[in-house]
Amino acid sequence: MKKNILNILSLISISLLIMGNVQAQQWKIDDDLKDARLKIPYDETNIDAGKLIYEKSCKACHRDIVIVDKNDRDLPSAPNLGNKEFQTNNTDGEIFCKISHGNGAGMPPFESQISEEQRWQVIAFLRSFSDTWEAPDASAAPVADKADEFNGQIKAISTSYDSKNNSIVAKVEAIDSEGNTVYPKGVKVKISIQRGFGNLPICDGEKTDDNGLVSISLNNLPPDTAGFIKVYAQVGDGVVKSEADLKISDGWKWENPLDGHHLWGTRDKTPIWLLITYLTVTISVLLIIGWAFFQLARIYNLRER
Amino acid sequence: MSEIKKQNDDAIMEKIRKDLLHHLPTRPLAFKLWVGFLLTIIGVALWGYVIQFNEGLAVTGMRDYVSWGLYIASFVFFVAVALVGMLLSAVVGLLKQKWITPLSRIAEMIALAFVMMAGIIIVVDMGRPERLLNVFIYGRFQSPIVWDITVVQVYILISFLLLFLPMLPDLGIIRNHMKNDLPKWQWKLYNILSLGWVGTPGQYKIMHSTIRVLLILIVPVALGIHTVTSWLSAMTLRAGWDSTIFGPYYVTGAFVAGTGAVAVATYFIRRAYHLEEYITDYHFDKLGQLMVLVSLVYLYFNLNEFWVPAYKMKTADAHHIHTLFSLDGEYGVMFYLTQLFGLILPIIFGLFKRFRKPFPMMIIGVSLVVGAWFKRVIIIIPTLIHAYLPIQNVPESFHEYNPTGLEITVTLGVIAVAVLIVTILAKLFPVVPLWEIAEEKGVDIERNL
Repeated sequence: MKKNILNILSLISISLLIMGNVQAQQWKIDDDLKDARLKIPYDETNIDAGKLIYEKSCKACHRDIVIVDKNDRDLPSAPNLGNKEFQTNNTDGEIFCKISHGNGAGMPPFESQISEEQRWQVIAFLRSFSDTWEAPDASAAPVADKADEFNGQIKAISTSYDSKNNSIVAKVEAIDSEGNTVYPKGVKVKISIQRGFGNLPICDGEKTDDNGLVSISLNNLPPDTAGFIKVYAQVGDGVVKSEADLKISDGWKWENPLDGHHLWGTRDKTPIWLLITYLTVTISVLLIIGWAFFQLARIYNLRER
Repeated sequence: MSEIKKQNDDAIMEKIRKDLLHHLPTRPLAFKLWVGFLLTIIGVALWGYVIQFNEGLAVTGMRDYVSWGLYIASFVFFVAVALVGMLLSAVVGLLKQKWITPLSRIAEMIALAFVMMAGIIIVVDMGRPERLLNVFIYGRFQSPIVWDITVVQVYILISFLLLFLPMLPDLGIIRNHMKNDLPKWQWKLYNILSLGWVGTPGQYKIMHSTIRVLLILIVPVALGIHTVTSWLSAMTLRAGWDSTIFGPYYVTGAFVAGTGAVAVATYFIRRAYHLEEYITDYHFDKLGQLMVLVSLVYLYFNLNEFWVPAYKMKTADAHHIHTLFSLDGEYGVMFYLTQLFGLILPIIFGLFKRFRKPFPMMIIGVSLVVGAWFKRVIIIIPTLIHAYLPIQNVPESFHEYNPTGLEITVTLGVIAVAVLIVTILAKLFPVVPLWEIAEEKGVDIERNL
């Protein structure tokens, strides 16, 4: 009996040791940051900056953030950071430490890759998915930058191609409170271009300048063979949007790899060298065989008459 | 020519005719039973094929992944065995090896029968054989399949000529001497086929020069037929087929299978037609030596074919090799038995002169031929089971290949047709070339024998 108890005890201690090892793969939270709150203003600039960093460094594993009650993703996918458990159970400081140090397992440490300010910006972006979280102090600016916000009704958005800078220019048109047509500043614009497998976003939330314009460089994005690209543009939440086919070049000729003489082509497209080789060899051999049959006839002609 | 020499020659010819042509008119019971046995298998197989023709290939074990089953494995086997015609007649013959004389015609008969069946079994493997013509109408010159069709047909033609041309003097002899011994139709057959052979120097000259050209031609064509057959597999990226030595690997394997087949056929034909005086222990001894030689070369290629990928164990190759090398693998037991009985043991036994006698050589031959057939199964099927992309969302039966009874029956039927053709050819025509034996015995053959 005593021996049994000893056995059980040793088993438990071994289990604890193993679990201790597992515990080693755990979050490291710095004491001074444990209860820290967001150290930068919770404003649109920081949220947008955080979004860009999230898309570059976090999204590959954490994917799109969707607001849910509980984490709905299993390994190997990293948790959905929009889950309410994560949002309520972690202080800003804890999230900061988790980003900084990782957990020694799936989540890598980012402190050497993302600056301190950028880490706070990511947290600001993450917190924009929480409806219970409150910004640290009232002096921090609220979500929208009221001073910049345009008071009036946005009527239209149009796009055009600027061949000099090789860029797409979106122009926002609105009516102010007095009924005049104006080109508002600071309006968020989204632009995407139709590609083979879905639309390619080239601008996600840039704001219009003093003339109501947003200009996005195309770099060397190829148009279709006629020289056109299809551009979708929208303002803010997508109430006002437009689509346009813009001619950006004279077009180009697509060379179908099936058009040439290749091994993978149809019979009509047999490579010439192959056809010549095949026919030469085959016909030569058949000629020799034909000659052999002719010899049979010669033997027959030499018979006794 | 002196009168004495002529009388002496006539006496020798008389004996040769008696020894080598006595089986032409007879139809002994054993022959009838053997043909009846083969016809029974063929009949059952034909019935099976009619079912397959009506129901489609679903009655076989072939599914989406393993779409080449026993039929294509047998196709490779048939082509392999057929290559012996080239090995014995051409390679050994052109090297002026005299011992080949009484064996070369058997080799050519096997070659012709097996290469014809190679063509037939491709049609058997087709789900819609009535569309066969489309292969010719729409075939792509870039495809090894078109090359294969071409080269198989060419090989059939050359094999026929190499069987038929050296037989002309013998047909002339039969026409001259056996009119009273043979049924009328049979004599007429020889009369037509002899093409008016009277053995003038002119006729011999044409025959010799034509045979010589064909013997040289058949070497590249035979290498071509089996190399192209190997390319059907080797031109893909599949593990187990993606090999640069597949051409020579197939060709040497074919020599092994072919010598085995000749040993078996020669043994039984020699016994049935009492040719002991013409096909002696010496011939089996030489055939055994040739068998050891080609088997050693084949062993060398086997070493390369399996050891090189097994050393590297690239992921897909590793899966493939595991199924062959591991006794728990799907083809492990078959692989080791095949290598043992189809290669290792024949080499070991063949090294000893006492096993290069007719009966042991026949046993070794059977071992080689059966081993060769299973080897083709091992080459073709395990590769297909291990596709690069995961096999998923398919019925359970797609995961492996289990040939159905019908499929096995049809395969056996086609093999039986090949054996039947050899049997009939060996019955209808002199197995040992009379005129070449006569020439070796010093008879002046350039006359109407």
